[in-house]
Amino acid sequence: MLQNSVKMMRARESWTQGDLAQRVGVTRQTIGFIEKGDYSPSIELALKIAQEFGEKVDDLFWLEEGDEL
Amino acid sequence: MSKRVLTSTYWSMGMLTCLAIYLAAEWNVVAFPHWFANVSGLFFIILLFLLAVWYGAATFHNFRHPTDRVPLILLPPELREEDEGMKFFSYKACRAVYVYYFFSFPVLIVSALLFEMNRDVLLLSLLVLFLGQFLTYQLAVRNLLKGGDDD
Repeated sequence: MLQNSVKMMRARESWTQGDLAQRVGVTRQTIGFIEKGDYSPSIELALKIAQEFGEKVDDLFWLEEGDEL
Repeated sequence: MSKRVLTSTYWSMGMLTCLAIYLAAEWNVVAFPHWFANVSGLFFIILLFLLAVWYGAATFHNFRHPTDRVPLILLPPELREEDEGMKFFSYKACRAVYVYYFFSFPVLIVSALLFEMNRDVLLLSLLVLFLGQFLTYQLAVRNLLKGGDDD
């Protein structure tokens, strides 16, 4: 399962889900589902999110231990 | 009116039910009571009203939210999602509808053969199946969307 630190990064920037959603052009619900691991974003969206936080994609998203690459 | 309301499947359900009742009464497909013939036109008016309300509300929404538009094209309202997360949930809900038809159509066909359904009952069953499609879609979306809000 894909793990992520989007919520933590968002808290670091003091952004709401709506703020991040607006920046990357998706709905607030989509950000909520990504944070909870219910939805794995496309490469394009993952790159956009990483760009907004000024981080690398693999610092934001990684596979749960035990999952094969 | 919010985008979630504008893209709800209840619009399709309402409009298609009104159209089905109106046409069934106009073409005497189903044996409605005599008094119903006088009010069947009302369902056509309700259909036009729903269409006008939806179109007006969607146009107003697009005017106020130019970056979060509801496409005014010939598609079921529930599939007018442009956001990739919502598209994913539409895909999951469409899968649920496919499973619904996978089981319900054979049941209807076998029932029609076994019980020798007359035309009225068969048409009514198809209408019920049709409405069931929207309910299946709506319930699937509702279940999937639970827990998405966590600001």
